[in-house]
Amino acid sequence: MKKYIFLFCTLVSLTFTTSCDQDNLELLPFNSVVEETALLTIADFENATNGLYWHMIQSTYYGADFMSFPDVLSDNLIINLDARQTQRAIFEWRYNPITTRAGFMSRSYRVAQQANFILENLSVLPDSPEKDNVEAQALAARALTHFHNCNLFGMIPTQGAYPGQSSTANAALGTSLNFTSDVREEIARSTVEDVYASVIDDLEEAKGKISASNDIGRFNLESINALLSRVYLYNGQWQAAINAANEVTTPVTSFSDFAGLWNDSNDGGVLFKLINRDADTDISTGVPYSQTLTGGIFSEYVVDFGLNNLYATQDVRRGAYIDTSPFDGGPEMNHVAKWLESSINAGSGVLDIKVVRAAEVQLNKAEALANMGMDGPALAALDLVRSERYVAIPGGGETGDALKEAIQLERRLELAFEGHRFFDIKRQGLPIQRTNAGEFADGTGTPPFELTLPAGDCRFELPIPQAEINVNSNSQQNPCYQ
Amino acid sequence: MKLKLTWLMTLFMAFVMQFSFAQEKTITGTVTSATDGLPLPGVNVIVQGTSRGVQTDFDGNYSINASMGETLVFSFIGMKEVTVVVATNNTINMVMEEDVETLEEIVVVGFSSKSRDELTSAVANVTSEDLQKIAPSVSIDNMLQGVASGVQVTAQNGKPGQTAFIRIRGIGSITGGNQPLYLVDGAQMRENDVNAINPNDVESVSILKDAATTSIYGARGSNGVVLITTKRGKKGQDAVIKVSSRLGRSRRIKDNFTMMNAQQKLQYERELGVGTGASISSDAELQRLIGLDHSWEDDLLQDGLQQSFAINISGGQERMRYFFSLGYDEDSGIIKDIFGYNRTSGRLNVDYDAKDWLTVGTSLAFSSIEQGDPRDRNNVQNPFRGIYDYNPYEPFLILDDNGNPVLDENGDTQLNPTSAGYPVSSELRENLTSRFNHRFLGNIYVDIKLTDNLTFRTQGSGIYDQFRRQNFLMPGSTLDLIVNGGVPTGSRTDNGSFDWTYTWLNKMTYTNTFNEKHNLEVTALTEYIRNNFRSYSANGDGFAIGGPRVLDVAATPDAVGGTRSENSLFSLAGFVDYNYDNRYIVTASLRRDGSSKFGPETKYGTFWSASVGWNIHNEAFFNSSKINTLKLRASYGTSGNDQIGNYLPITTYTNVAYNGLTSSVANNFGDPAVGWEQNENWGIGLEFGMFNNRLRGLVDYYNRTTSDLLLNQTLPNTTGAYGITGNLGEMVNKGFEFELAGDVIRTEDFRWTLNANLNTYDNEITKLVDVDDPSTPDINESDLFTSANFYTILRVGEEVNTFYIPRYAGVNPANGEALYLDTDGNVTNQVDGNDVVLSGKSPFAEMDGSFGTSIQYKGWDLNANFYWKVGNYIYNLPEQNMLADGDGIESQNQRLDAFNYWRNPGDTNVLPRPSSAGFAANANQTSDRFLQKGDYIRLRSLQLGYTLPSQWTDAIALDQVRIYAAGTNLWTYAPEYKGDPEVGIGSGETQTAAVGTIPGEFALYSYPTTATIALGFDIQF
Repeated sequence: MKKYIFLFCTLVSLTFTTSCDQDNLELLPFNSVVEETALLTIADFENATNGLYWHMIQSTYYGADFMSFPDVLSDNLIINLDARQTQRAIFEWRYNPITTRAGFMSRSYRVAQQANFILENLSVLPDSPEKDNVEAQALAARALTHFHNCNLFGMIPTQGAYPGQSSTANAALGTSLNFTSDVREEIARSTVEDVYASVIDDLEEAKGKISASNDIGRFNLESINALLSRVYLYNGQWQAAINAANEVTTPVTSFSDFAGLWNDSNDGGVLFKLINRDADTDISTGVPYSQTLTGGIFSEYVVDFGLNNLYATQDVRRGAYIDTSPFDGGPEMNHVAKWLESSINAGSGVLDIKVVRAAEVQLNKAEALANMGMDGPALAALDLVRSERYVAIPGGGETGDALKEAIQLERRLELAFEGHRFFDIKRQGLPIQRTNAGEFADGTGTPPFELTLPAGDCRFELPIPQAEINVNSNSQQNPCYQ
Repeated sequence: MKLKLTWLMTLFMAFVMQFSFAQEKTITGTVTSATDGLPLPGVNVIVQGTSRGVQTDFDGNYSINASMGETLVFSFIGMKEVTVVVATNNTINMVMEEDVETLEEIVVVGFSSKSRDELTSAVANVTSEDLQKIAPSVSIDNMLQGVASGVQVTAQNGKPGQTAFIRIRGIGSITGGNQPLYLVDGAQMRENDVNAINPNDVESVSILKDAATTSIYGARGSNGVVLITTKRGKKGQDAVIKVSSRLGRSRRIKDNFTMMNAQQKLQYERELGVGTGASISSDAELQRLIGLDHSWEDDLLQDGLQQSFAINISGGQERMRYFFSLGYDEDSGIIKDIFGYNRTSGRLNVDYDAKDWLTVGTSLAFSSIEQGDPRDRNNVQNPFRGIYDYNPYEPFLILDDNGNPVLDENGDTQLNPTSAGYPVSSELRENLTSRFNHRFLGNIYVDIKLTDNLTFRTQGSGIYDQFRRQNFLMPGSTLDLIVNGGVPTGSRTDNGSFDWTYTWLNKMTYTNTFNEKHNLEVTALTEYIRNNFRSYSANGDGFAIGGPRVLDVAATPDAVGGTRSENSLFSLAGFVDYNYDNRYIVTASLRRDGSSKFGPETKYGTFWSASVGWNIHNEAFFNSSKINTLKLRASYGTSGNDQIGNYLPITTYTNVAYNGLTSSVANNFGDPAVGWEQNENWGIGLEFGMFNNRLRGLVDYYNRTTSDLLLNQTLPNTTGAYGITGNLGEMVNKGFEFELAGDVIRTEDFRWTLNANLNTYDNEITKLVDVDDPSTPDINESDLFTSANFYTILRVGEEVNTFYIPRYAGVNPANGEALYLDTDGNVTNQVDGNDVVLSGKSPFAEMDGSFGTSIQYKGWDLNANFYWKVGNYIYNLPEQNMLADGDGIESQNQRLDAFNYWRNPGDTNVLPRPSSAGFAANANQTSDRFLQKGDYIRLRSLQLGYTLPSQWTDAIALDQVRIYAAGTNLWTYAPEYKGDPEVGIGSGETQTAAVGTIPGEFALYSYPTTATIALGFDIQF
């Protein structure tokens, strides 16, 4: 009999296990939470909002790529062929659907995906200023993703006609507008006009909801206005650009603060920056430009000889942006110094990434005003920048085309190596013209094999990555690469 | 039935005994064998239910005290047990009959044991007797190479205590695991845990290869199953104590090529105008350097010392059986200055018949392993690269011009960093890493006999692995000064894990025989398996030179880490075995598995199998005097592979930090429809035995289709997801297996057996993520690279991991330039982008096999086993460095045949013109120039033993004494491959767990295989 009692007990406990079967087979990870429970409280949403910045600072987005390749593509840099030849295909405009910036596209769209995930779930929260602040940051982050991808892979509204495709840039293909967190979507490319309309909508809505107390380590009212002035400028809406710029109150970095801005010992004129720390994100922003070895600075790209000569000796930016020194006993080179050393981090090239600064806002405003023929106010805006950069302003008092040129020159000098130059050339429908000089400080060495990208060349629109074409049946390649 | 009767009788007698007088007297008698009438020595005679027992002497005589009514039990291995009740007679002579059944090979298959006759499945069975013929190893899996057909065993590398890659019937998965399911006494373990087991404890290893037996394991069975059963005590057997000891030396296998000596290397440098050789200004200087010639192998490596000691005690009484063992193994390894390996292991297996219907038992083992951990990486921190790279004219220590060591400020000699820039001995002496594994494994069970036909078992089994790794980079050591900018700092890392897997099994078995011909066995079971894993790591910097080394004293805590994961599996299963008159056998199995690793839609899977066997030799019509065994069998079934991540189907968000703030981001995009990789397996086999089974053999054919292979599907960049894992691929493995063994001589004193096996492997990928577009035959849209593919590719229609590199086209006789073929087959001097699929060339062998011989003559035994393998290709990276065409040769010694380079227009059969002063050749590029066929044959094991005659051992009161000499890997022949052809891991720190390892894809200075010679003895008393 005992054996039956024993068996009975075992079977009872077995039945117990079987009934627990469901629970025992639904095991969840310990290092993460499932999407259903990721966003429940305001704290969850704020953590997810921080995640937007974490994605933005990764090296394939702002962390390194976006702070270098728009300059590599343009006339600000020249390759040092003795180095590792990173981004050489980009530099020589030899990219194809395989070698294009697929990593940049993926990472920037992860920001959009994360923003959409936040926006889709926001309804679980009761209305509050904190909720609005989360929504505003998500909208702004998504707007930037769409803006950058459109400018790189598609066209910019002020660029002009697309040969063989459309009579205006606005009618040409921009980028895919992603409004969902569902990763299984296959999203077609929208027109440039639609992309810009969406970017402006998102930013304007963000502007109304952003908290006044956000610091410069995240989107804030000042930086959203600043970004709006950039977007309106790119979109040819001069008055809107001026209005947005006028709402920005932060003064441009002062002459005395300027050098310290680039080793993070002050934040003069910074409206929004991605905070980069050894202890967490630890991204080497400077690596696409150079590494510091025992033999000195070992540059992948050095400052274009022509650009170098544009920096006057009394320009505070010459010292802050350029380090002229030899590597390993060789000839002197003009290394890019903007991303070399931080006063906070030990890691080489680990610096805060300046997303938008007050100086750009004044230059946006000056350009818009000049385009509207308001030379006086335009010159005033320009001089707000120039007065803080030179011991004595060179020239001064320009009008007409001379003023426009002075604004563009100052823009190039001020925003060099911050991911602007390619887009500034492209949006004006200009050619890229590099200096026929080598990589050494005196202009000797090997000049670039490719010196000119003619205006209107279809390579201004980078190829859509092949992987995107392969798996997104709704996507469409740019005509140049079909 | 018989057993049951015995038990009933015992009970009855025990009852009777209560009423009889305890009248003790001395019983004597002689035990003889029924077969030949000769006396049987060593028969156990015990009084049932007591601890009184004796053994018969050399003449079969015994004498024991017993009372009337008590029962004497006579037992002897290979004989049927006999019992007799003591009556009035004082003399009881016993005739024992051979137990035919126990002499027949018993094979453990899944949840039961079968005789060969009853099998319908391809199972390779290796018994403890088989293992004794193989030269010993500390890890049992390494001893299985060439022993079982269809089972490829490749040493991961030659590191002491390292386990092997076992691949059963080809490659079943691409991104999932390819290791078979290992079960030790029912406890599931991983490939790397196998070295926890002391091979001396192993009773048998069964390797289940086809659906008839692997389907029973459902979601875990698709890569085959390795069942390891440990030894247990035998009923009524007096304690047998066995002591084994072994002492051996190991040495790196000699290369089948020659490196340059000092004079040659200097000459080569002078010819090329680079390096030290080019800057020699005087003959005296040249002679001084030539005089420094030495072998770096002598400086860095040593002959390893291997020691093994084991003791086990086993036996049994009426109700209890036990097996106890202790073992200690040590292997110094072949690297100087670094600790090799040691293992302490212990085991106690006990079975106790608590009631006549109730047996309880346990198998408990503990093993503790310590390993020194040299860096297995491709740089100057690895001594196995150092022995080839360092120039022979550069001394080990820094010497002055007179050849005397230069001393530092402390008066110590200094290691020469050489032109490679780093002294590897500093790495070994001052960057100290050890790994420790403490493992508990085993089971506890209860067996209940419910009725004569119905038994129930509940069993808990598990393995607990506690792993710890410690690293200490000594302050002031060479590497420390490099990483800390010349400031002595020091760094310590402690990391480890706790890994606990347990299984709870409940099993009900019904067996019966109807009408003496219909044999039926039905089993139903439930199984619950759960794994719990935790890990941690901590790192701190800043230690005093010569000071304490624990983390507590670190000046700055640096980094911490740790994680945890779980998985579980719950199963219901049933099997039916039906056997008609031992002629027709039919089996069927059905299993339903639920796994935590899969999504809500795919959590449960059902696996089934069916098989048939026909023992033609048992048919009445079959009447052959020559053929005694003839059997046909066939099986078909399904199984699965669950060796994937734990949480793949779930979309999850994890926490990272931005600006010191908690940030949450998606870390996995999951497909809730992800399920296991499905395996569909069919096979047929023929077994035969001829001439009184002196000639035995079998032929098997299998066809194994793995579908729903888990692959990473790329998603559009514009969705923000990089990829998602789905069930997307399919591939097919098929092959033949042949085994043949024959007793050339079979007499009482002399037995000579020859055996051989041969296996063919054929693999083809039939489906990948993307589909090829038939309108573009030149473009293979489906091509796929996983992180594990370094030189290989996955392509539909090709073997898995086929090499994908440019083709080398020799040297242009006109200018010495290296030539290649472009993708269209035209000769070019450009190598970039000319990668092509080298159809049919993959790291997997087309065929392998082994052959061996076993001779026993009186007390002598000789066993030899050769293993061979053909048709696989290995990318030889060391050769690319040794024939570097002048690139970097200043700090890299070269092979002697590097001299054979292009010198003059018209030179043919030469190496390309090397880079030299003022000339950059750029010839040393990745191409099939360095892809070599990995064919080899190796004398895997050779053993000569002598068992002392019993009259000698009796004289010293021992039962058995055997002494032996054993060697492994004593001879190797590789016609094409330069280096050791048994390549598993190429480079451990390149092929990490994160990227995966394709065994044998490339060689890159991992711990080399060693040849060993050992002397040992086994004593039994």
